[in-house]
Amino acid sequence: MFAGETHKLDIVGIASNQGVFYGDTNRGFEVVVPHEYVAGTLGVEGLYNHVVAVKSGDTLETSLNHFNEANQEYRGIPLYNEDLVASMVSQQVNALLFMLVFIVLVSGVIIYGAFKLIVTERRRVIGTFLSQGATKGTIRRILFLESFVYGVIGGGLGIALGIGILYFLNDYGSPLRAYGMVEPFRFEGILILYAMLFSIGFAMVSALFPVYRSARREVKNIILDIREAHKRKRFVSFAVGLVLLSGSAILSYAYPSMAVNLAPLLMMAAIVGVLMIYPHVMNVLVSLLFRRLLPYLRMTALSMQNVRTSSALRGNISVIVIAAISVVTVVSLSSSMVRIVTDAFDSMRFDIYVSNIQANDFESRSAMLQRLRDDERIVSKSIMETTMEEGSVNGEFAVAEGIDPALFDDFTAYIDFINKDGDNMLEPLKATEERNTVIATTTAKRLGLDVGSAVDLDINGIVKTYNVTGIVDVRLWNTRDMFFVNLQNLREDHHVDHGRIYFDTNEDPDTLASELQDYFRRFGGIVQTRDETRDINIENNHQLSRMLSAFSLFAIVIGSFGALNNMFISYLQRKRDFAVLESLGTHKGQRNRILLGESLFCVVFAMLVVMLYGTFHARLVGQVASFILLPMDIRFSFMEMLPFLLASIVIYTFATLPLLSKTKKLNVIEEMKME
Amino acid sequence: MIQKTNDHLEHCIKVEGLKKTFLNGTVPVEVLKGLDFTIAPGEFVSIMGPSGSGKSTLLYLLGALDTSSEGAVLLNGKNLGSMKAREKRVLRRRELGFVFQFYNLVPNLTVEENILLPIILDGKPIKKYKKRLEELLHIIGMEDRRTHTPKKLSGGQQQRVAVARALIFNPDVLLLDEPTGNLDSTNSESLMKLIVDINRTFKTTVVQVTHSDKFAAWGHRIIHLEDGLLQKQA
Repeated sequence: MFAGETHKLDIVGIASNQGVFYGDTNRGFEVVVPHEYVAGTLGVEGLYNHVVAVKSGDTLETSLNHFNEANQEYRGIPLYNEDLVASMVSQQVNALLFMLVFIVLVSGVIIYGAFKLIVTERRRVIGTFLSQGATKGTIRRILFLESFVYGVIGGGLGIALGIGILYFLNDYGSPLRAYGMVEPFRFEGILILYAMLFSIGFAMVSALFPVYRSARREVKNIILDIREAHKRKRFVSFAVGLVLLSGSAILSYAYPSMAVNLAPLLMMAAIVGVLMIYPHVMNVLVSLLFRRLLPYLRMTALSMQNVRTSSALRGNISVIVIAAISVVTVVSLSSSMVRIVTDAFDSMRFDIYVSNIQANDFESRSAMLQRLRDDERIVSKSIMETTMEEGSVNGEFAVAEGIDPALFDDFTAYIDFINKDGDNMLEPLKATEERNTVIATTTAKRLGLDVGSAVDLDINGIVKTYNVTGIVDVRLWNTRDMFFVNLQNLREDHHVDHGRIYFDTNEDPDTLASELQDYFRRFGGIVQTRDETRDINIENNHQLSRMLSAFSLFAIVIGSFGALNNMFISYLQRKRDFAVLESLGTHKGQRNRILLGESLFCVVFAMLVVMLYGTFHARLVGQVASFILLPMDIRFSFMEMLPFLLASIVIYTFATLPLLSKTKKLNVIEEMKME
Repeated sequence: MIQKTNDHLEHCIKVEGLKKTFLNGTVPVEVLKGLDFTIAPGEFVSIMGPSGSGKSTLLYLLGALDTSSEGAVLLNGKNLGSMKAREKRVLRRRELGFVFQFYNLVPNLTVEENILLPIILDGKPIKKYKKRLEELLHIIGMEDRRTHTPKKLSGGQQQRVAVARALIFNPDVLLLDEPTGNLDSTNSESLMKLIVDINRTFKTTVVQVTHSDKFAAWGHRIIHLEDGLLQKQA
């Protein structure tokens, strides 16, 4: 229906839910029809609301200036605001980059472990090279070259696999695939170069320590695999870890605002601190438990003792801890998002919400509001209009949110507009002629504004000066970065014609919303109940959660490969110990129980570490979220973590199964003969 | 006097037509070419011979750590070749003690725990063997080192612990593969005195492989091997 009449249209195509169709719901959606048809129906041939054109000058800005200078009756504005688009995707990009850190950490530990394995397996060859006059530098160069080659091969395979997965996701993930509509696959070739360089650099950096250590010992000690005790070094690592963890905790709790600015660093410091401290905690714990458990749970006790004393198995715990921390991050973030959105909607007083209203004249808007006031099912005094418009302040991107200051405070208890002096910050906005504005803390921080600042707000190309009369923490409200101004100012001064309406009803919201949709359709309005709006918000956040979960799952899967690798390293290092046990009459079942026990203890201990660290980590995730302008109160929930933890236990335990078949080939005599 | 299960037997170990062939790549190499000898209960026998003569291979076959290609090894009348893997494991734990040249202690266990390891693996109550543990710690003179891990011990001390571990079940037979091969002369002598004491005190049958003429002579009898064949017995 448009222009008050119903038109029958044939559907000749279905577009995906993006671009002009982005805001579509099952109640209200956009349709594209030929301009001539609409113009003919309305009798406005040759007239246009909007004309879209490409720039004629070198830059968009010069082209717009040129157009606007030449046309007094029309105003050209950019079709879309690049800053807004960047701001919209920045959360996702930042969140994904954040998760990438975990993948990189896990992968780094694994490559480190792999090179340790390479060096361990080749220690006799390395020792022989050294004994024949090769320098330590020669050995290191050879190993570094190997890491380079691994980087090239791994990078090549990874890139090919990555492109394949992207192609698959693009094909099978296209929302309208069932209708034969698949998004064209796009991939920037330069990314291959970046990925290859990253792969090579990453492989070489991760191999740095094992390669350096490969030739550090005396030649005889390398050949005979004699390790020097480093008690002092162990204490230093504990002390450094303690300083890192406690330092980040002190900053996070005692200086929260400073902590937000340093949040990524604090999180890294805390994780590194945990990784440096836990071996010492485990040392004390296992030492206490071992003798007590030995008479009753013999193989378990031996497994625990092995984990305590094997650096490779401790590396295993590190991998699992990092992967589990990524799970904690995602689960805490996801559940907090749902909780925050639910809480926010619970604290807002409205039953029905009409968005996307395109009424560009006073009469239409008045008629619309009158229609609502006349409806007995609607609480008249609850009807409130708001609008949002993009613009700029001093050349910087800005969003203005037009509100009714008399109603807005009552409308949302989610934002606390009472300042530290007990005054309501919205009061000054009532005087429209003064043009006052209350800005979000994020906006104040980004643009360097304070109470008392005067800003030139450019909306729709019309610049007006506003006084900043308040700064408020808007938490996750809308874009979290906005200027609250009186709606009347936006309408009258800046000619903003669209808006939203919120109101309460004393009837069933679903029935009323369906009925009102028919009325608002003529204005392009989309009617939703509060529950629908909340669910859409939660679903939007879930999309981000799902992306993060995929990364987290990736970390766990990569971690399980790392865990297996470490188990192999540890087994190779202790082959003779197992041969000793075999010579003393150990059977295969006992050996497998020891190996599985080691694996299980690693994963259970890692989970214990993560449980203890989880609460603090959730706080740091919250501070990192604030750092990337996504402020939210993140909480750690053990019960929400439980399924992921149990799944991790299963995955990591299964990851050790290939090792069990490898140990069948243990040659006792060969192992016992060798020194 | 400690009673052994094999006191009534004529032979503690009986070797009949023992052969062992290894594959060197695809080429079969016959290491033992048919050995026949017996060892009486409580006897101390030294096996000597040049490198590659098959001494250690023979010891591993006696210790049920390897299987023969032909012939038989009878321990207290039981044919090792016809025993199942599980039976061999129990035998290794309870009736045989094995001491290796390179000690082969478990590095992350203490002296006490290393000595008790066969008990731990066997599943027997550890408490019941506390007295035996104390006795062995006294015999090897390491009561004050009981909580030390192997890396804190000298080679001689580690080998004493290995001997104590081999004796925790008071086995009938103690097999030693070049026990002094990695020790200095003082420690070697001290260890050999300990082994002789054990042989005398516990009537434990001792079979040692050694390169040392001096320590070989500490036994009751020397078996000489060369190219997988028994050359002479002295």
